[in-house]
Amino acid sequence: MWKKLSKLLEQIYPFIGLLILLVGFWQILVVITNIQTYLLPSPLKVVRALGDMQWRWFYQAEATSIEIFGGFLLAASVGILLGITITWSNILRRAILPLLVFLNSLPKIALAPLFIIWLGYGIIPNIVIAFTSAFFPVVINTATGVKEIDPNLVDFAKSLQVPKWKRFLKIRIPNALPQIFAGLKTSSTLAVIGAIVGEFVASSRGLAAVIMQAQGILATEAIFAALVWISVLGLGLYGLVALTEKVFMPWAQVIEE
Amino acid sequence: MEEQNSRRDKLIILRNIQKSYSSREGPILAIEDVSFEVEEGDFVVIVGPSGCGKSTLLKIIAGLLDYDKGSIKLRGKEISGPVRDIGMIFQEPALLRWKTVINNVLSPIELMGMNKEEYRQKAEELLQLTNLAGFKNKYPSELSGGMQQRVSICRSLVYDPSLILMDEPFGALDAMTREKMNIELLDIWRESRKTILFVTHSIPEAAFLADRVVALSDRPARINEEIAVDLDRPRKLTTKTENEYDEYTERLYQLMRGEFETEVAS
Repeated sequence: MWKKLSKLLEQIYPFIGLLILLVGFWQILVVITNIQTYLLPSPLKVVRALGDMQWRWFYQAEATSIEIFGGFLLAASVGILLGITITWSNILRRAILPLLVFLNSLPKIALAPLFIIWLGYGIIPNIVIAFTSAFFPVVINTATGVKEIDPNLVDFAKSLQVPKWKRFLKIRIPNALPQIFAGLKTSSTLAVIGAIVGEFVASSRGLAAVIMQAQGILATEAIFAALVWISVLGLGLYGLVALTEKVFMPWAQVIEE
Repeated sequence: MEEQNSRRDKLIILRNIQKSYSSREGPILAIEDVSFEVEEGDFVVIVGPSGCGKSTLLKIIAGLLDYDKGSIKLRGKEISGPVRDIGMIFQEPALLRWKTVINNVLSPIELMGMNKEEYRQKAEELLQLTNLAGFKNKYPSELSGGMQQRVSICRSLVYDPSLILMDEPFGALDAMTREKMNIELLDIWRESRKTILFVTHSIPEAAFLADRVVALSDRPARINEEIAVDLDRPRKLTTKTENEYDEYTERLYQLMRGEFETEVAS
């Protein structure tokens, strides 16, 4: 236990050190130059803003997290299903893949007004924007992972007369797990971007909405505080994906150790 | 069945197998005309220069590739496509890296939709036989190449196919491990009473393992000759120091000499 803890500490102390150094430098810079708070608030002021409940952080973060997590979960499930579908059948791939590439080439921010017209104002359109931003890497990574396999593994299963659906379920999909999780990790950060973009385009609630309000009254420290919240949510989702990966792929950890 | 007779039954019979691949320059003949038989309990080695179509031939027998002409009969019955009575071992261990050793050995049972628990004891016995008992809960990535290939052998034995096809299974191993694996394989073969059809391009390996060596020509594959290897069993490392063993390898080298020359020329 202690050994693990000290090992963890060994891993993170250089980063913690650098962080303290940077924040300290920032604080000193603000104090020495006596810069206006609306241009650059000191770290202390940011921390105070984080504790200032006038911004209703939990209420706002709740909305943003629902958008991020909702969008991500949709992207993960639809993405994995589509990725498997386009490797299952050549015809489906030729039909679906060009459409996906076309959709992915569109800047998601340009789609946001459409979703707002269709779905109204609020959390739902932002979930959809987060989803559209995030699902493409999951599709491509899943498809690559399922497709690229040691041909001997396929021959092994074929020699046992294992039907195609079972080869997918028992061999190709587990074999694709590392790529699927790589896609999910990329997509988790894209989901955050999508949700924030959605809130910027139109919303009265959420961390990006706070940023807009704070900008209006030049409460720059609240902008910084909102950024801290956003990065916490982003890291939280990423960490959750990494944790799930460890649960699903205990065999991959072995290699690291 | 009348397997009790002293005359052993033919397990598999190949007749005039021909196979060509299509390529941009037109069809390429990979196998011209191959016929041979394997008797129940035999250890037959197919030897030939690399790229001569040995692996293609093995895949055809496994039902993983179509062929153009000829026929294959397993226990007198024409086969087309994979049969569960034939197991296959590849050059690479081809294990499921997300499964532990024991679950890899049991994977054919699971994939065939049978009850894993009924075979667990057998799987453990096979791991015992191959000195892997202590590794049953490890993942393949934690094992050496030789150990992985042993898992792959256990995996092919667990569901008890009559015929096991081996496609240069020890080709990727270092020379020492390879010799060890050869001896181990003979032990396993003797204990399990399987029929083995083994492909290699190593003449010493072929002579050491085989009851009978089928020598193939360079592509397109034809049968150059079949040689019965009448060395005493069980064979040990010392077998390789016997004069008779040298005679067999020399005969095989003589036989393949033409093939070596063409390879150098090309």
